[in-house]
Amino acid sequence: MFKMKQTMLVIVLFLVASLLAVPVQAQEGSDPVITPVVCEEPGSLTMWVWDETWAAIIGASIDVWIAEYCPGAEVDLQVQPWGQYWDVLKTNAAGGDLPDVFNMSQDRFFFYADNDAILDLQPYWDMYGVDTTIWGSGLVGPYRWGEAGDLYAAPVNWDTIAMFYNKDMFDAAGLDYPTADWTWDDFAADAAALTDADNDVYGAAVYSEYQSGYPNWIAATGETPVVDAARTDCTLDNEDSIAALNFLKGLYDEGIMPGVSIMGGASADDSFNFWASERVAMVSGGSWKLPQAIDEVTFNWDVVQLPKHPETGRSRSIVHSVGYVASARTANPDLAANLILFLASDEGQMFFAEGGGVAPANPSPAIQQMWLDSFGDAGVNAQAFVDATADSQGVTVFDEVWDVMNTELVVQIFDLDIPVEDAVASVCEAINAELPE
Amino acid sequence: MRRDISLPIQAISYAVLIAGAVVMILPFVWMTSTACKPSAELNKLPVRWLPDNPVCGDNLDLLYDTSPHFNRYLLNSAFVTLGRLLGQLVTCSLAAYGFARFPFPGRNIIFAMCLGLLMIPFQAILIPEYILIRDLGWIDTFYALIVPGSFSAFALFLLRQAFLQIPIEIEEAAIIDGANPLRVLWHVTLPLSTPALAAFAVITVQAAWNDFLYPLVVSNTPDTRVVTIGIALLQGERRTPFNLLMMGSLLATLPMMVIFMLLQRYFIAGISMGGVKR
Repeated sequence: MFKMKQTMLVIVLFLVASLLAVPVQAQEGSDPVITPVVCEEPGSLTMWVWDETWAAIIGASIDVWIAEYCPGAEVDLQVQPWGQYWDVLKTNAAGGDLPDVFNMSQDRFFFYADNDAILDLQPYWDMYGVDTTIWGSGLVGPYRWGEAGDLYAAPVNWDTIAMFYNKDMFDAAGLDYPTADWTWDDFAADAAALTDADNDVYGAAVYSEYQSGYPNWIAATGETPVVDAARTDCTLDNEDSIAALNFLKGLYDEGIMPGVSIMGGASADDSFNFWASERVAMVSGGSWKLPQAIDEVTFNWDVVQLPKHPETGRSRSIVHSVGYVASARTANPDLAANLILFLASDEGQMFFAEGGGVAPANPSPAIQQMWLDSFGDAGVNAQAFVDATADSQGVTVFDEVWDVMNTELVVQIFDLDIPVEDAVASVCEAINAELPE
Repeated sequence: MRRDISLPIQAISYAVLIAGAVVMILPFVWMTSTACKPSAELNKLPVRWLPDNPVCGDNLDLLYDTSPHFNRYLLNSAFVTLGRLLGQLVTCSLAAYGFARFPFPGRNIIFAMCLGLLMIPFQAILIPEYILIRDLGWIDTFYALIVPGSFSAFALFLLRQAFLQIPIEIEEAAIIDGANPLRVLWHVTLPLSTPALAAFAVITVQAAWNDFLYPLVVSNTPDTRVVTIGIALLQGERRTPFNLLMMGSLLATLPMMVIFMLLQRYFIAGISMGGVKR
């Protein structure tokens, strides 16, 4: 009874304090989308993240959680190197002691959920009154598990794909800059006009890697790229996928798009660096490339949404969202869920919004605006990436199919000149072998 | 007597050796050059072998801004390396002396089993070793980093071979003078094995300094992390500052390069002595 009184007192004191403090959301003129809750009992948690920059941002937000929502709690925030994060996580999972809270990726979630390693957060969302549909389906869909579609993760951030283009090259070719309602045909015409074979300059490089490359074009046809949502079938050999790939191969055959060997590799970074070196006029790239482009690119450039499919009228970007999850074996599930709630709340996500770089997942317009403002006066249409979230495609692929879809398919079509139909047949055979019957 | 080598053959062999040397040196040149490049020059085509606007100092400052614990990582690496070196010196020289000088039943089988350890890939025992270390409560401690690395089958083999080269009569002379086996080892055998010990030190130091996978699994905080992990931490999911990564690699490589230059001939002797490279 005494404890309950104490808790009530803390809540009342907090409410008074928060009224006095005039929260930032109120200043921005909109209600918070997710509101943190005071923890019931402090304790200690271990948390893993994979990026030094993120660690600084998340560390700052954890300090606020401890100070205002869970005094006395202790969080041991540890950074693991990105290149080895999944190896270390798997080693720890095999040893039976995962950190209490850790970063998760959509394409890896499948493995951990399937092995019962992750805590079901749905009961907590229900308890805290969080409607999980506030996040777009591309952000949370891949983090749902079980028959009821429980949400096991809180999305931390999102990133979408748009077209980076070299404005100087458009000017030199006498072309108008592309706008969000351009179509595949407009794109192909621009790319052809921008190609300068004499100087080894290409029009566009848009096929590399799952998230930045060809799957966006398949998604625009309405098809789910590479693997269907139920993870039972390879979709690359479906009619729409083949049509999209043939559209891209057409550009490659005409010398408008460079091959893998010319760019020096099949990764999205290879394509992007090729663009940054002024060897290609347009490249499809992720929102995470904005800070690098602002820092490093020396010519005039901008971004625009990917072109619309001429028949479906859709421009669909692959969206990816990193999540926070809790270990199924944590000693403090309530506390872990409380921390995750805070990190996903408007208050916790403000730190990500202000930090620039990756975009915060919290859908509050104020938070999203804060992220756009973080690019300051760079004069870049970062809004294109936000607009791309409206009709986007969540990740359906996973670790085991990564190489075959990311490298083998791309090299077969865009370097070895193997017909699309033959390439997808062999790749689908390999992918289907990894899928459950 | 050395045979005279005709000039064309000499020219060809020098050309081949020079080509080999260039191939070996090129990565170091690239590392140093990239360490001094501003980020705008990193991905420029055609490739720049030397930075147009070198910013070595700025990149060094930036490295310490990005990775404030970098000196700590270097210090931890040095401590772990020294710990393993001393540990191996004690365990391996004692064991090697035993195998070289004391006949006991099953000696050859036990020695073969020790050598067999060289054939087990570390990846195969990573998870069991992690669990063992965790159960000992050694995660995030220097015990975890030093104790398991204090024995090496390769060092055992190297030292045993070296001890066998020493004429037993010298040791017998010491024994007649009343020295016990430990005294003989300390005052006679080890001083006579200086080249082997130097080779052993170079190889052990290099292996310990470069170790990555094992420290990655057993240490999670800057207090115990070593420099190889510090460098890996500079790689981001979406963006890797390659100039800082190369600056970090340069700092981490320098001590090894100095040691190599000072002890070059032992290093090469060690490889030929052991007959295996590690």
